[in-house]
Amino acid sequence: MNPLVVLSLLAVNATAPSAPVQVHIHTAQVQVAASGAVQEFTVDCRPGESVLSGGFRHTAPELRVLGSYPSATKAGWVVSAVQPARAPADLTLTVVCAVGEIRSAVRVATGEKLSASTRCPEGSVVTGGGYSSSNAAFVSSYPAVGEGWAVTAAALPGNEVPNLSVYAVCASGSVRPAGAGLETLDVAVSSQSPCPVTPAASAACVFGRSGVKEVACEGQLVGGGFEVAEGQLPPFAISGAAVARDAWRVTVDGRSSDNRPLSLRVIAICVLFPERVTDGPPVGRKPVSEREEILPIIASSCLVAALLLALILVMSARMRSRPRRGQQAQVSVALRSHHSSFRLDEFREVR
Amino acid sequence: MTTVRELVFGDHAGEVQAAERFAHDVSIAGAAVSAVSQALDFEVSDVVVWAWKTRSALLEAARETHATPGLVREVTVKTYALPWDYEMHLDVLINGTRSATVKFVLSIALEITALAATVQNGRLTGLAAGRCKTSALLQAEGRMLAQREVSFELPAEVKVGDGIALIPDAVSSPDDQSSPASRS
Repeated sequence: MNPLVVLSLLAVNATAPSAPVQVHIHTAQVQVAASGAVQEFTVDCRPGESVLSGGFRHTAPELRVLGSYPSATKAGWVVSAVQPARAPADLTLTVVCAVGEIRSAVRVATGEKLSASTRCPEGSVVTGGGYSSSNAAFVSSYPAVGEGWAVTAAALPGNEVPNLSVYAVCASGSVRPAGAGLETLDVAVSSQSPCPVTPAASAACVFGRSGVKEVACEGQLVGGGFEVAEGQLPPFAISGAAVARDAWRVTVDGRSSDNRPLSLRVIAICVLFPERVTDGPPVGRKPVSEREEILPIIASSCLVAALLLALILVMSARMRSRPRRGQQAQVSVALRSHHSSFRLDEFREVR
Repeated sequence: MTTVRELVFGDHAGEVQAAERFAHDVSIAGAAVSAVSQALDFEVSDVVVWAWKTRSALLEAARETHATPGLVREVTVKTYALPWDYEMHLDVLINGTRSATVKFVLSIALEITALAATVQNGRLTGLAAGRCKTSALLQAEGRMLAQREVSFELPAEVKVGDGIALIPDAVSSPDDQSSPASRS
């Protein structure tokens, strides 16, 4: 099985794309004041458009992006950030919007743990997602199996109880999932401060960690995510995660005392906008003679379609029963973490 | 002895059904449900005892009898209920590369009635009576995969043996310390 299909496990297969829906990308340049306070910025979709995803990018080393998420009140994308440095920082916001036979809804889940996920309703397609927190640094924000969105974060010193919100943009209407693009970004050590010679004092070293990856996918690119695959991402090191031209682009630029291998999975989400099967005009609206002319054409088209369908079914049944010659993807599942708890608030005992 | 795996899925057909509910892709769904099934290969009685160790009249009796050597407490409880949630995060690996993470949540509701037990030296040393109704619900990313309910007699299900430590101070063997989550 193609690994790119994993993320649309629960989805139906799409048909050939056409264009009842148009996708537009809007950007906004803002400046984050050097106030040390959390500031929120929004880039809106145009009237009549639905939000599909969004993101941000910047080149300010000190800037801390605390949230990048769909607006819950209007079609748009919100980015919240703090600039602790003395100079203001430039920040670019991006929102991906669509107009046509499509609508989107935002699902939000909030918790006090370092990971959270939310799921789109059945029949809808996840096109993007995001996160926000005032006291945790995000390390992963990605589409999860089961058509939802998942985020993980790292606690910041002095914030044992993080607040965390995860957002999923769920689209419905004339939209089908088309799988995802998936590539690994190996985050290199880009620089190194002078280090003490003794290994015991190696924590005093500061390593620059940076890298960039653009991932494309088949279909209409609408959004994407990122997930730490190996190592520890320095806090607020994601300096860009947004649609750029025809690819989902994730940029890492941070500093850490850790020079061990660090890699991210960068995931691009693509969808298809199949033509909807429209109901024909009610019988009787056209003159009888015209209907009589169309009926044989419809009947023959149906016959051809039925024959083609039967042929496809027979072929696919044969393919399934035949042993595969080529390499098959090896699927395995591993328990990553687990925890349990009793719901003490529902405790009852009568002696 | 009933395992949580049996409680949740029943037999193999239950696992197949759960896999079908989870995803259309047979290989991934099967592998995921199989991994969950393995993770649930511990006994329901472990969860029951762990619940008692968390909050119960038995726990109070254990503290009391441990503080007073020689004291034996006969504890009777008309009804007892404490739900338990077990969250598992599974990585789906394609050709060795992690492609996605799925969250499974198992919720077990324990409802015990007419419990009669003996506690001494901080340990549960006898179970004369008690019936436990357990209902399990397994979900993946919010989607229900399996739901079952099983009832059993506690004296038959919980093997008391030389006694089960209910407080850390009464632990005499490593088995006494483990919890269902740490074993799986």
